[in-house]
Amino acid sequence: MLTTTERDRYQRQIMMDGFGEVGQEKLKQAKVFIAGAGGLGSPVAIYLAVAGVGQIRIVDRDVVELSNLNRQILHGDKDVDRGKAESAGEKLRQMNSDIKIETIAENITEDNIQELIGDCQLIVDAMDNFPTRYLLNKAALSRNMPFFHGSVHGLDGMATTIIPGETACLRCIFPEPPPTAIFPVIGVTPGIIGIIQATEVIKHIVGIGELLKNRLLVWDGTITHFGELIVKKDPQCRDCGSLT
Amino acid sequence: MPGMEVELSDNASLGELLQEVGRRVGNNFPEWIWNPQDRAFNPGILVFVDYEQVRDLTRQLHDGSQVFLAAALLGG
Repeated sequence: MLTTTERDRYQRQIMMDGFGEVGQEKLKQAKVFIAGAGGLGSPVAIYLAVAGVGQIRIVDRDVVELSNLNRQILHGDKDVDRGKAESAGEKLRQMNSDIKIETIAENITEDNIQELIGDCQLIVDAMDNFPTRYLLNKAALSRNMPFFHGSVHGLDGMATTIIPGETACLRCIFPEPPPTAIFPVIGVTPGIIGIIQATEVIKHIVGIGELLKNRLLVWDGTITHFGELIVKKDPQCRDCGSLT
Repeated sequence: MPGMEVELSDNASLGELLQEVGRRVGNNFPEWIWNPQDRAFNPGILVFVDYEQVRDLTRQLHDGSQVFLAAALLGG
């Protein structure tokens, strides 16, 4: 049941066709796991928080560095050398004190991932490496849980929404990881991709629109162009090929 | 984004196209994209024909087929 304050706060989205108080209540009851509080994690978390997602759990083991500040907009000058999860939590609570923000400063590993996800209902991929992305993918598959992928490089970005059993999984789409490296990126790129991920999460929770299922959205900021590629489940996939 | 037109024989396969592309420009790519020893694009490179992901390199192409190569992006 929405409070009077919540009806006021979210008035502009409640009035959208197909959204209504029912949609807002769904957001309020949702529990979202965001893996990463960096370039992607910042806009994802911000927009899910201001939309009224009831519970947001953010996991990031890193400490804020000066070189993060061109893109990781949940962190500022005064947060350098501070834990990213803690820094993110503080800002998100300031943006929306009506929701619950949990922050965990831990590395995501095969040993702890199930515990970290806990009773969250979906996973947002805001990571910067593929080994962890693949762990998140496997966890999503094991739990039959939606998984919202995003990735960036320079002015390029990609996003897709993975629904276990229904779509290609992350390993179907990207069978091998790119090499690990310090990657170039300008803040607007994770800004765009993070907001697309947040849009997908909101649509999924509320039950409106069409998701990026088996669709890989490709953003080319150099020419300001969105493209779309159809991705396919791989029957030989080492992560989901044996799942029915 | 960069592209090229490639003329091939009738009923050429996707694999043949990739070999030709590799022959022409493979050495311009880092080794994680084009393997010069195997003379092949690495398995991590995604291949799309007419905007759909394809894994079968024996797939026949037709006149006007558009083939798109992509790699996973690392950052977040």
